[in-house]
Formats: sequence, structure tokens, C-alpha cells
Amino acid sequence: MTPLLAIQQVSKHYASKTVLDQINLDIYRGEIIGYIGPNGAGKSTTVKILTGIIQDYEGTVYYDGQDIRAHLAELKQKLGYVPELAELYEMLTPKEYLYFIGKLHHMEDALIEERMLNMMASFDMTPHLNERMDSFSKGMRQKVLLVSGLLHNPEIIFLDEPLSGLDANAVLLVKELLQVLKQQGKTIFYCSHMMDVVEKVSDRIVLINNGQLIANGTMQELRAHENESLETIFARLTNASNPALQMRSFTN
Amino acid sequence: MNRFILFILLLPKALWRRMGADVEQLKAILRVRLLLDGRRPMGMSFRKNQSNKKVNTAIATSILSFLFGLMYLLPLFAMEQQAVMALAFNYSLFLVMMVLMLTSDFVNVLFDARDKYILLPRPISSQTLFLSKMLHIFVYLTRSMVPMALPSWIVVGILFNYKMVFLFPFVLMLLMALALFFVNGIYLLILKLMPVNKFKDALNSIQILFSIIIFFSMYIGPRLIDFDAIEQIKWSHFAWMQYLPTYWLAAIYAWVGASSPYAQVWLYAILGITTPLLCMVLITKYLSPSFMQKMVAIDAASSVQANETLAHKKQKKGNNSSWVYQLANRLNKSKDAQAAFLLTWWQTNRSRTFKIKVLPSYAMMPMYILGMFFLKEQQSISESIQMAIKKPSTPLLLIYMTSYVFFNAIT
Repeated sequence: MTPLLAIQQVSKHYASKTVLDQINLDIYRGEIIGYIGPNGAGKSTTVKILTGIIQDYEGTVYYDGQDIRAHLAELKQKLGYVPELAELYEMLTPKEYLYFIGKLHHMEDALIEERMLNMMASFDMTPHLNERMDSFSKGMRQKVLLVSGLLHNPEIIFLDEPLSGLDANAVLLVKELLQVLKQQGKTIFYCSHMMDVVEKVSDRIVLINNGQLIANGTMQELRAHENESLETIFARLTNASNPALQMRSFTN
Repeated sequence: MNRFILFILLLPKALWRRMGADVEQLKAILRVRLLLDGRRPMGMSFRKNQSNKKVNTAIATSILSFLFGLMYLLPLFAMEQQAVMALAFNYSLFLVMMVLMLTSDFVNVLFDARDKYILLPRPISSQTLFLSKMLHIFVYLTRSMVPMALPSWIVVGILFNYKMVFLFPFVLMLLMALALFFVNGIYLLILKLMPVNKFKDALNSIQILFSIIIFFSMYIGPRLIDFDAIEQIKWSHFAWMQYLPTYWLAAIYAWVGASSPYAQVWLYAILGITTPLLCMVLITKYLSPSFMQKMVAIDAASSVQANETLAHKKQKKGNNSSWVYQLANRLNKSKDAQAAFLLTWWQTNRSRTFKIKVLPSYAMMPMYILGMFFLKEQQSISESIQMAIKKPSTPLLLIYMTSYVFFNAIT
């Protein structure tokens, strides 16, 4: 089977710092990839390369067999991206912002309106459609970001900490949303530190540490023994020191 | 208003399409840019109005620009007999203000860091992005520069020659090209001399300087001007002006009959046209590409480089900074007071917002006092101080000025 996205020997350096070190990864259609790693491991940089935000990297990324450097516009038409930071033009209202995003994807006004109203209603955001976003809480902004990333019905979705700032009910909604999207055949690249959610929703888990991929497999494949949680796997593979010992010295 | 601007900008649709831009996306981007311009919190001189969201920033900026433009009329009236020289002064003031305004506003207004996350992952061609930036710069310049130039534009026709009114927009565009060139130059110089993560600090210093100049020219300047002395000024005192590009621009008016002190004025006029055009070529061919690359790099590299610099500084400083703790302990008895001292120390030392809010008022206070008490009266400084101290209003004014700084700091 041809991967939808194939990352081959991709490296990224900032001055003397290597953020990504020759990573290789295949992502198949309809998969949910849980992309995890410690802070500063290179998760967001990977996502920025795959979404075309960073273009000066070494190596090659193929989308449907084509180098994305030459076919970036085609990829961007089919991708949805929810960034880690709630980056919005907060002086706009959600309605103005989502209309703008829809227009950038060449959507018809009626379709933008219909999808925007439905999606915002699902997040209980209808009363806030015409309020400026500078007064919104982090969770409300995150909901608008999620809608803006999915408004144009993308084929492949990049979610960078999508649950950041969301309340418990909204987290449940997003988890459900991920399942619905999977059923619709969407490919999802999901970056998060919330191990329980990653464990539940991902078909395959990829672990990155210090810019290198150190694990890639299903939960079953990654487990050293039965019932080992993703948290324990993460600590084991990233050589984290014993948390109990660490916290004892913290309180002392 | 925005609809009208959009309509005008999109009139040459066919040309934009031929340049490779997607007109529908271009319209969407420009519409949002214009909306944001109108809703952006105001700059230095309008900071107090931030809470009032109904104020349209774009309109308010235009009004402020118009008021500035009124002040630039001064050389036109003072040197009425020498139109070219008067216009050279007028343009010099105009250019300085334009460069300062653009230098402090360019990054905030035109290089929104959020674009990276909002626009770059969308299917927008580089041609559409580039054109949207260029058209936005054009609107931004027009909004601030046309109101600023309006008083001079009218007065030039009344004072000198009605034909000059028709030439004015053309020369104004050349002046804008010069200003853009200088702004690019300043940015590249800052980027060359300073590490990338210090770039915004350098711009903040320019913003502070800019706000002081605004304050000075609006409140103090008019009090200090001796109009009788200005009328005595002779163009021969300013012969060096003929070597400045603003004089060359003014020399263009000699073609429609403006009086000039120099015979070779036609040569200066040719320089006046060719220099800005040459500057534009330099901007588009050499300065802009490296400038754009560096702007993109600023955001990406700043966090990494900032961390590296901070770590390097910490290593270099070692325990040297512990004197701040010692100072806090010696000056304050209670732990709360020590904590508050340290917080204030670091906050005032490191916060850009604090510096922008408070530093200009520190500079304004002595200038204001200087203007109010000393410079207006024909006395020695010591005499002036004694006179000022005797005035009953002085303590009140000092309390007011001190609380002005204080309130700027805490709000």
C-alpha cells in the first residue's frame, strides 16, 4: 500500500541546534497517528514541515507519491491544521474569521455558512458567533481553531495539542469527533502530551525524542509487558528518571 | 470606507490575475487586513483610547496624520520666496516622520506573526501573498501619508503656483519610495548589528523615540518656536540642503515655475526622479528578498536563539546577579517587600510593554518642564529655576507630572 504521506530523511536545524535528525515515517490513509514526545523533542517542527509552514528543511516529504515541495498547494487544499498556540485574528468575530478561512479554501458562501453554524453549534458556540475573539477564553478560542481547521472538510488533519484549554465536556466531544472523522476515512496526525487520549484514539503511536524517532507501532507492539500504559512506555523509552525519586527531592 | 478601498484595489483584477494572484483569496485577505487595521489597538500617541473599541484606528491615525501635516506648513509660510527650498524643508520633515512611523509600525502592522499559522497552511500561492502584502503596504502608506500631505498639497497651490498641485501626488509617491528605502535600510542595519532576538527591542527603542518626538512636536514645539526669527531665515544659511534627496525632490517643481536659488536646479530635479526609482529597484531586487527572509526567520529562530542567549548570559553572569537579591534584602525587611522589590526590578528591566509605556513619560517630563519654565523666558537657567520655584503653581505641576509617570506605569 502506498503511504498517503511519506517522510524520508527529514532534518531541520536552527543555527547550531538540530531539531529533527533524519526522520523517516510513513502515514497511511485513514490512520490516526499519535505523535508524542517530551517538550522540545521536535513534534511541532515536524507538523510545521508537513503543513508547509517550514519549507527550508533537508530530506523529502511525499504526499500521495509526489514531493510536497513541488505540490504544496495541492497538499494545502486537502489539509486541515489546528496549531498548538491559539493563533487567530482575535480582533475578528468567529463568523468573520471562519468566513475568511472558507474563502481561502474557495468555498461557496452558503456552504461556509451552513458548516460554520453546524460546527459552532456542536461546540455550544452559537451565542458567541458575533463577538470579537479578544474577549474569549482559551477554550473558546481552541473551539474556533478546531472549526477553522475542519471547515473545508480536509482529507488529512494535523492536530497539535487540540485539547489545550478545553473543558471536560469539550474534550469528550473532540474525542468523539476524532472517531467520527476516522469513520469518514480521514487521516489524522495527532500531537499531544495527554497520553490517555492518545492511547485511546490512535491506531499507531510514534515517539520522538531529541529529534529522532525512537518508537513507531501499535500499543500492542510498544508494550514491554501486558497492561503497560502509554505513560509508562513513554517514560521507559525516553529514559525519564524515576518520578517518585524526583518529586521527593522537589519537596525536600 | 473599507468596501470602497477594496473596490479600488481590485479594479485591475485582470492585471492581478496575470501576475499569478488568486483574486478571490486576495479580496478575502485584504478585507480582513482592512478590518484588522481599523480594530487594532492604537499606537503610542493614542494609547489611552485602547479601551474604547468603537474608535476606528485607521480613521484616528488619519486624523493624527492630518494634524501633523499642519505643522509641516511652517517652512512653506516662512520661506515663501524660495518655493523649492521651502518644499525641501517640508519634505525633510515629512520624510523623517514617515520613516519613524513606518519603522515603528511596519512589523506590527505588516508582518503579523500569526500569519504564519493562519495563512501559510492554506492553499495560497506566493504571488497572492506577495501582492496582498504590497497592496496592504500601499493602503497603509496612503492612509497615513495622504492626510499628512493634504495641508501642504493645498497650501502649495495657494502660496506658490497652482500647477504644483498637479505635480504634488507624483512627488509624494517618490517620497514614499525614499521612505520605504530608508525603512528597509534601518531594518537591515538593525538585523545586521543585533542578534535576531534583539530586533524587537531595537524597534521598541525607536517607538519610544518616536513617541517622544510626537509629544515634543505637539505640546512643546509650538511653544518654543520664535516666529519672528523664522521669518529672518535666509536660504543661504542652508546651502547644504542641496545635497539632500528631499531638495532634489523639491527641485522637480522648478519645471512648473517654482523659484529656486540654484541655476542647476534641473540637474537636481533629474536626481529627484532617478534616486527614488533607483531606491525602488534596490528594494525589490536586493533589500526586500533578504528582508522578507529575515522577517520569517525572526519568528522561527527567536525562541531557539533567545533560549541559547539566555543560557549563555546565565553562564557568563554566574552568581553576579545575586547582588540584586542582596540589594532587595538590605532595602527591605519583610519577605513580602523583598519579593515585591525583586518582581518590580525584573519587570521594569525586562518587560517591553512597561518600557514602551513608561520610558517616554520619563523623557517627556523634563522636556515639558524645560519648555514651560525655562526656554520661553529670556533668563539664565539659574534665574529661571529660582523664578519657577517661587511660582505657586510649580509644586502642583510637579505633583501632576510625577503622577503622570506613576499612572503610566501602573495602568
